[in-house]
Amino acid sequence: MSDPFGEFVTSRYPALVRYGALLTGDRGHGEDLAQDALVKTYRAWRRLHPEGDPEAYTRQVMTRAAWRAGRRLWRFEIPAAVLPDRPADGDFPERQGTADVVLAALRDLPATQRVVLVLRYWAGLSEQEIAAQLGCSAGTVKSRASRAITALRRADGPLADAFTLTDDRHR
Amino acid sequence: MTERIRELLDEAVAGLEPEHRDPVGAVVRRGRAARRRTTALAGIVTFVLLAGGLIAGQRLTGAAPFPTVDGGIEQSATPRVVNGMVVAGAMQLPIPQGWRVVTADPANKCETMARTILLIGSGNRGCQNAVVEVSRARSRNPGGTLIPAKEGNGTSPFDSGIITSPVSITLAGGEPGWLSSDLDSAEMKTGRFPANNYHNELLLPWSQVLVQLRMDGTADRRIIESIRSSPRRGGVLTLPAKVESVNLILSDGYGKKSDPPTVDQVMRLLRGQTDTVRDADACASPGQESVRLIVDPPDPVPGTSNATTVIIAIGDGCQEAVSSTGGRVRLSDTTLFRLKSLLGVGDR
Repeated sequence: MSDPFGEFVTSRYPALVRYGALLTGDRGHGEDLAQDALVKTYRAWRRLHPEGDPEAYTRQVMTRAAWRAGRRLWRFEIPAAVLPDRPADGDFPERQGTADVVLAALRDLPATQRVVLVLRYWAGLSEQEIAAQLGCSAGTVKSRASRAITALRRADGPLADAFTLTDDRHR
Repeated sequence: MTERIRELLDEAVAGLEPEHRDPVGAVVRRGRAARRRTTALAGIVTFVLLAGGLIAGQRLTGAAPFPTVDGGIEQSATPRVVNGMVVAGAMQLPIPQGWRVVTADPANKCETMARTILLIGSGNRGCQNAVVEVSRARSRNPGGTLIPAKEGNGTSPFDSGIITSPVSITLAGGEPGWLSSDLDSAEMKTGRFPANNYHNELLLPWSQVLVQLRMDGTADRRIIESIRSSPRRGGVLTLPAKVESVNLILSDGYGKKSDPPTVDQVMRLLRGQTDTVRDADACASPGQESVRLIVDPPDPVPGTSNATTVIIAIGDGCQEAVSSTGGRVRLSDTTLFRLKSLLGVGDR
């Protein structure tokens, strides 16, 4: 007998985990977020299948959970037993791959900024669409996105080079 | 630039593979675990209700303190070191690597210690200072900035000035925290003062623990991020059974009422709030404005630690009221408007 929920999870799980990693800035937390959301999807399965869109529902649950957690400041942050020193200039790109650098930069952002950044620039949603999804004002979305970009472009930030290269390329 | 950001984000997760090779099984196990927790909680609730609904009744009237929960959750607020963490009440603060923990002692020489957590007991603390100090809070009521009263401004307890509202935060684990200064404020900015000359206070009202921080906002944030506190003080707002006056302090004004009919209406409004917020759903954050409501019992001295403070984080999709003695509820705009109207302040 076919198991539509199992098939859905098996086929979409990797993509959902990747989305969770972006929303949280961490692989492990991203997988937790995806699993928690899938539990809710299972509970809502009767109204999501076959007419509904279970993946959109799952992503929505993940987004809202990450946003709520972000509002609490630190739920998805990784408790640090060691207070990290600032990296020396140029340390990051040489020692780590781009994926690690980007995830580290995402982790450094306040979670609400991270969620807005992902929705705005990765999912390509408009400020109004994000505001509707998160239940906040468009102004809040705009300010969070702006702060996130400013932080990522910061001269001493790990992604400064990436943005600089881009700017040069477009000249 | 938009395209470049998208490329970077794509690249960040492109090679990421889930840890679980059996995602369906993992989800099913997680779902069952959640159901077990819900069932266990329902069982506990049922037991409590069958036992007479005593606790619920006490919370509504505020007649008695919360029951102590076994298992180390609600323990002494006196700070101590357990398994590499500073523990006080429900709070657990991991000791950062390279840091030390010193117990305050009047016999020690006076100094300000860097990379140190100072544990302050109930006796004389001496004259040592550290960049992080943990103590049992003398009061569950939060501090704030004193705004001097205008001359001839009545005879209220505010005659000597009003205390502004603290910054509401939610710690990992769910306990509400009240900061005296916003970590992102100008006064907490890195480089503004010499090292150790900053001062901020984090009050955990439900644990009755005070964490004093003498570092800039960035360093404070790292310490606060590492704190976990899972209290058992949710539920409806715990309020005094008998109330003499209520005071509401907003950023742009305050109001006090002590006439019994109005006080009664305010208390009924507060006690009628039953949309409780679970620890996992709490979301008050520093971006929100906070309103301070002081509920004064008849004696002995209004405005002292006998009072119960309710801090309301307003707006931004997360309007929560937290009582200093326990309880956290979601407040509607209508309720907040009604509260302001009763106290005669704000946008009536």
